[in-house]
Amino acid sequence: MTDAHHHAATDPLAHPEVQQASAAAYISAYVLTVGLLGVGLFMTERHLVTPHSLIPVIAAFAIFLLVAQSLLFLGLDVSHSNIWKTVSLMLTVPLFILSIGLTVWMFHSLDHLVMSPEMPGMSLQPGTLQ
Amino acid sequence: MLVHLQGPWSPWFGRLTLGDIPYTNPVIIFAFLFTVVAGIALAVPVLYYRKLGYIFREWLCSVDHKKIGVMYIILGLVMMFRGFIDGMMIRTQQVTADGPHSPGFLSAQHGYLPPAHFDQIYSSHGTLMIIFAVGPILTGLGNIIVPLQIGARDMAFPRMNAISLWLSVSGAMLIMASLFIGDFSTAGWVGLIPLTELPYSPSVGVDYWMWALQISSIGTTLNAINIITTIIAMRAPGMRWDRLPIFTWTTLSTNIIGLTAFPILGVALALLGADRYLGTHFFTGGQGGNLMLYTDLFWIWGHPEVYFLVLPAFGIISEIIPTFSEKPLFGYTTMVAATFAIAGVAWAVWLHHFFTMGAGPWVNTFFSVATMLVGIPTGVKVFNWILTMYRGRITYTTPMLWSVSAILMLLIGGLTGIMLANPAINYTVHNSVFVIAHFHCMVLLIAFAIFAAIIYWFPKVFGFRLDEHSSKRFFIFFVLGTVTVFTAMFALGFMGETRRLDYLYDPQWLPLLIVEEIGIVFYCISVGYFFRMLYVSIRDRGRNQCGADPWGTARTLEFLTHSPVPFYNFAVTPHVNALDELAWRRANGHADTPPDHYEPVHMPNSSMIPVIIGVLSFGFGFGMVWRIWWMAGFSLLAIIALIILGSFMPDPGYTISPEEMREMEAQHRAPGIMADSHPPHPAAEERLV
Repeated sequence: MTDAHHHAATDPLAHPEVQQASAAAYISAYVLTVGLLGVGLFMTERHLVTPHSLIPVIAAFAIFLLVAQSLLFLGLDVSHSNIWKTVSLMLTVPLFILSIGLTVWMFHSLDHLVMSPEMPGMSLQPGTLQ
Repeated sequence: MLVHLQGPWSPWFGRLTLGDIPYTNPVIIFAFLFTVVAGIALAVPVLYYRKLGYIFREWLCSVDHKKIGVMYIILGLVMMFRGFIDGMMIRTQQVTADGPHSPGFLSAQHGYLPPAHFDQIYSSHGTLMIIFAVGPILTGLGNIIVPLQIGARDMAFPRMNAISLWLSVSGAMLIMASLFIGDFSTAGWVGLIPLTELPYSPSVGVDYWMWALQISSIGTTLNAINIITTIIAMRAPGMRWDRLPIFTWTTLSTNIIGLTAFPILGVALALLGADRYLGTHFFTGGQGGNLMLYTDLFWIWGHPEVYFLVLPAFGIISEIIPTFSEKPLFGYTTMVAATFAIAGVAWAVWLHHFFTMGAGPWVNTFFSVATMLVGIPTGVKVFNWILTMYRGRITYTTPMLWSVSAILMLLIGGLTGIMLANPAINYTVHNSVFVIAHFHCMVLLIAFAIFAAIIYWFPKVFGFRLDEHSSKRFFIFFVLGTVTVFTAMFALGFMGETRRLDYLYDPQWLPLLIVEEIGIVFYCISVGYFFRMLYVSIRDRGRNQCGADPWGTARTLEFLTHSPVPFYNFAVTPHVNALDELAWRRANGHADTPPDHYEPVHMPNSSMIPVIIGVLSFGFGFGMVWRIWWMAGFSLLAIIALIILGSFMPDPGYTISPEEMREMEAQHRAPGIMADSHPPHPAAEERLV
């Protein structure tokens, strides 16, 4: 074990990923997170737009926030100290697509089969979301 | 913003009133007395031998991965015992409540348990067995064995390891509290929706279930991070990926599942909590809610969770069969590939838990095919085990007996699983006890592997073997019980008995129900032999002491160091030369070569913080369950403050000098797990207090 290694093992502050930390990045990520989540909540609570256009707007916020957080909080890159974080993300993305995608497909099919408008009382009234 | 609740509420005690203590229920009074007697039986010797300080210092505050593992396993075994009593009560209720002329005892019309009480029992049976028995035992085994198998000193984050343990304990304690204060959920371990919503379950039962799962699942997630980091970053020199023992591989894959799946459970429960506490409508029947979304989220976690449990069991079997066949594992590479194939497919099968929801033929076909695909890597594993045994020099020690029987259970459970994966069959037997018998075969395969592992690694950790005579009887009666109960249950499933019945309407089921009850008697006898095994082994521990390799034919690195394993694991970090390092060293005559020089060893300090966090998280859970806001708020703030303070406290650990190490090794006075660990370091002691 080299000296530098030994030092890094005993002093947590000497870890390269800790050395990357910057107050500016953390604060801006925090402000972004609170701001975007707050706007999303506000839009949902006040019914500022119709339910159908609300979902893409909130989804866009969420995706933007995901990217911003992974860059600003986690500092994702392919350097030696951060490679495993990036590998984890690579693993998570397919799982995310799989679980969300299959769920959407399942609910779409379910909605088509059991919420048919011919059946009285089964259609999803726009008013029920209000 | 908070949901308005009917019934009394006070700022100091929340919803809790004296009427919530079920002191009029004879079954619960008996359970309470039993718990008190067991508690006294444990407390008296501890106080008599003045071991309170030792237990606090050496166990509760320990960050040693082996002690944490042992505590995980003790927690799991205690919860398994309670879950077993629940199972026994379920079977006894059903056999006494079959047909309109069945008698009623106590306050029940049929059998001895009224419906609401029976529902709580099957809910706690499932929750305890899956989340608080099998889960913690496997986590504990991973904790003990993985660092030893890869030649590490401890886990990557020792203190976080202890925090994981105490979070699991506090979840289990919440379920124990629900037995005597208030009630437990009646909605099954899966949380049947919309029954878990506030209008249908207004009591605290669902809250107990929800917070117990939530708190312990945070512990599981932290533990998954810890194990993955340990395996990636802490391997001894020469421990390349292609030399990693198979149990470590399965633990790695299982914890990848744990890390990715458990947050989904957290989200599902948090949204349910928002419905129950804040009046949102995520999972309600109307008002824009979607109750199937809960079922979907639950099983996106729930199915990977099943493989989270079964993969380490496969790893255990893959370690034990080569040891007692005196042959290397057949098809190491395919075994690893099969493990990760199962872990991968685990993410695309969850919908088979609700084929009957009506998602349509295409969706059902996709999930049906995906589910059947699991059979391929599992089949690879079964053939690998059989080919490992083929022309091997087999010794039928108890761990081997458990492992071989586990393969049989896997076959029965797996083949019935393939049947259930077919939507056409699934529509017919959905919610029947056929399904219950199927998944009990799978979970019992895990239990078989657990017992194999406990007997196999016990001498490594404690330095003496468990008594073979009584452990073989424990095995025989457990297998008899399993076969008797679940063969009858498969048949009852085909005869149309549905699950979770407190009253059975068909008197023709009675003969098979009696067969199931006979199986429960076998189980009871086996539990007796289990306790006898512990008693005899501890009594005769002097005679059964063993060396580094208690079995003589073990193959992996953990059997290189002393038994019991000293607190520093290895005197010198071993250099790994081959897959099955110990077998390689034995073959090349290096098994007993003492190291020529020692190096300073850096060890972590004990800490009080994890156990305090555990107590506080119980306080948080209890406060949230009863809506005692001051208690929940105080506990949460204190946890956050402790974590922040703890991370600012300098914790350099301590170092064992080469001279100390040489002395301990030469005199064989390296203390085992039961002794006081290292001569106390003044600085470490000071920091503890």
